[in-house]
Amino acid sequence: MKIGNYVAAVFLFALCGSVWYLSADFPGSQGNIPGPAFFPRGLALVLALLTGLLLYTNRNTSVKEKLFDFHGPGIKRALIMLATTVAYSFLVNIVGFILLTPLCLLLMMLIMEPEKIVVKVIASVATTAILYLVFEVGLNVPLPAWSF
Amino acid sequence: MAELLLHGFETVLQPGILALLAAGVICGIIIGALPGLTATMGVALLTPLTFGMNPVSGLVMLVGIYCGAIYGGSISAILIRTPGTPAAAATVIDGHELAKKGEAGKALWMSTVASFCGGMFSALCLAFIAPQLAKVALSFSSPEYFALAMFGLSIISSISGDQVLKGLIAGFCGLILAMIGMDPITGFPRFTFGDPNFLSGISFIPVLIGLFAVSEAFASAESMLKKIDIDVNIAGMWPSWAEIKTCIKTIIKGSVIGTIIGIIPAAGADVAAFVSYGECKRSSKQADKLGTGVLEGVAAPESANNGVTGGAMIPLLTLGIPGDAVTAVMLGALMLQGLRPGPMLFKDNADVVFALFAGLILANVFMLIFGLGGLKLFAKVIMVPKPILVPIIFILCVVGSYSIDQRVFDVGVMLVFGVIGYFMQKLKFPISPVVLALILGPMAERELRTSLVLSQGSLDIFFTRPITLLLFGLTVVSIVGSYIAQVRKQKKAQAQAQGGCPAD
Repeated sequence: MKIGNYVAAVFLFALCGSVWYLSADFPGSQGNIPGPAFFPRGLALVLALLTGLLLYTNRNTSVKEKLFDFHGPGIKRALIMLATTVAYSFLVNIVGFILLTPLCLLLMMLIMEPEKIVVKVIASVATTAILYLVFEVGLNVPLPAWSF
Repeated sequence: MAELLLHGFETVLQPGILALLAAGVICGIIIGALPGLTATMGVALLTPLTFGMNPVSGLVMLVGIYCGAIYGGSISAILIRTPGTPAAAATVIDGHELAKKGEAGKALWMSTVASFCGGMFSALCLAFIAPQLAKVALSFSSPEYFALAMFGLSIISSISGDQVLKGLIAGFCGLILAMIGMDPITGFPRFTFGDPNFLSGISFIPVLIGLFAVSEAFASAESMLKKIDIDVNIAGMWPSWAEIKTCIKTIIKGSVIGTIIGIIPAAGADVAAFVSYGECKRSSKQADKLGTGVLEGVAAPESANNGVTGGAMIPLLTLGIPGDAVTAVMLGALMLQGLRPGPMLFKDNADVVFALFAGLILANVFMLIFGLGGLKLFAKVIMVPKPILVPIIFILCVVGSYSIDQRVFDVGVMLVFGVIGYFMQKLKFPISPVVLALILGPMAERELRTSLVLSQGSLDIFFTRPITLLLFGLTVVSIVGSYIAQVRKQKKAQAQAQGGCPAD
């Protein structure tokens, strides 16, 4: 947790700095009326102060929780699920919802537990069918179709 | 007002809307019953379904999900000693003890009836109190709305639990995020990097789905839970009339506690449940038996947690301030339907508002019917294995985000915030403040700058109006109170760790 807080603080300071830098080109205030840069800069300033306070309180933290177990299967499983979801998001517009969804669902289910394939096939197909019926047919929300 | 409520019932009592309400309650109960899925996540995940519907249908369905999910958590709390939602954490104490004694059926019956009573009481309070409060809020102008937004934002400290500093940091990050897009006064594009996708700001629902649903799904994928087996018999056991009589007073008290706590922004169903349980322990004739498996120990938290549902909607609808995390999501859903919560909602869309009241009342009726009739089925749902459930959640998140505007950009936003939410949970940064800030930040900036335009730059406009001063006072009390509560809690924990003070 201590290291995690330090890493978070670095990102937060970077965010504050970026907001301050990017808002330098915004139009200025008109008289006493704040311009577009007023709020972002004020927020960045307060956030920087709060981050400093976090660093200060973090000095006395003795909590040494291990946030990630990089050797265990859990984090690898989560990363593979993320990668699969990202790939699905990009490919679904090309391959189409009906074709890609059951394949991705089955793949993810087998990643989570590589057993009981028949149950997982049925669950994948049923989920795809239900989602299609609810969104495309029931709610008239167009889902991605095969592009070719 | 009675006429409007009657008209609301006429609107909702249509087959299509009733079917959606029933579906919402059933989905809510299932989501609530499944450990790892919260009511907030369920409402966030299913909000995209409401886009293709008219406002009444969509909102009534969300209300059904809300009621069902808060109640549904008690099912797994009683059967497998794991609360399905945080709101059911107090129900575990006596609920599971009853199940171990072979009285799971009685416990589930009591949780259903108590939830119905609490929910119905708060729904009636909503229907009668909200219109009166809206009349007061009609006199609000830009300074009052700015003060209201600041009060709403101060709730960040309350909803941050033990991590007030991290909650404030998360809130300010959310405020910065809300600055992306066109400036509300001058129209100048801020932080858009020349990308037209950013001109209207970050879309709210993909952020919600990412932070609440995807991050939780990642955490579930990382920590695989073992398959759940339920070996308790829940067939046909109802409490006797003598047992029910002992719980009536507790249910009434719990309903009132839940409704009041629901009205207080940010104090949610979990707080209400524990406060009610604590009150029951203090005042019950069976106080010494609480914790060993008594029906009062189920009635108290369940009546309170569902009592929050109507109460939390009072500040949401009348002032645009969410009463808890779920109503924060519903605020986004309302705005996406083109309805701006606040006093004008009662003036311009009274038919929708009163239909919502009728929907909430009927949702509780459906919850009672499905809860009593479908308990065995819902008990089976808890046994759905995580390897099947988690991938479905991922796909539903993608489809839900895509369905907003049919843009892959929104899916990307959802995934980015899913990863951010996952790291936030790991580092113990509360997530709800980001959502609250994203909603209230634009309002705060717009009303501040509009007020300064009206007053030609003078800050006196904020200090010469009584309602504004009252709201600023409440803001200070909210922040200071939360900080003091956290310090007290830390000192108590330190003293207990040193063995100096007995536990409560």
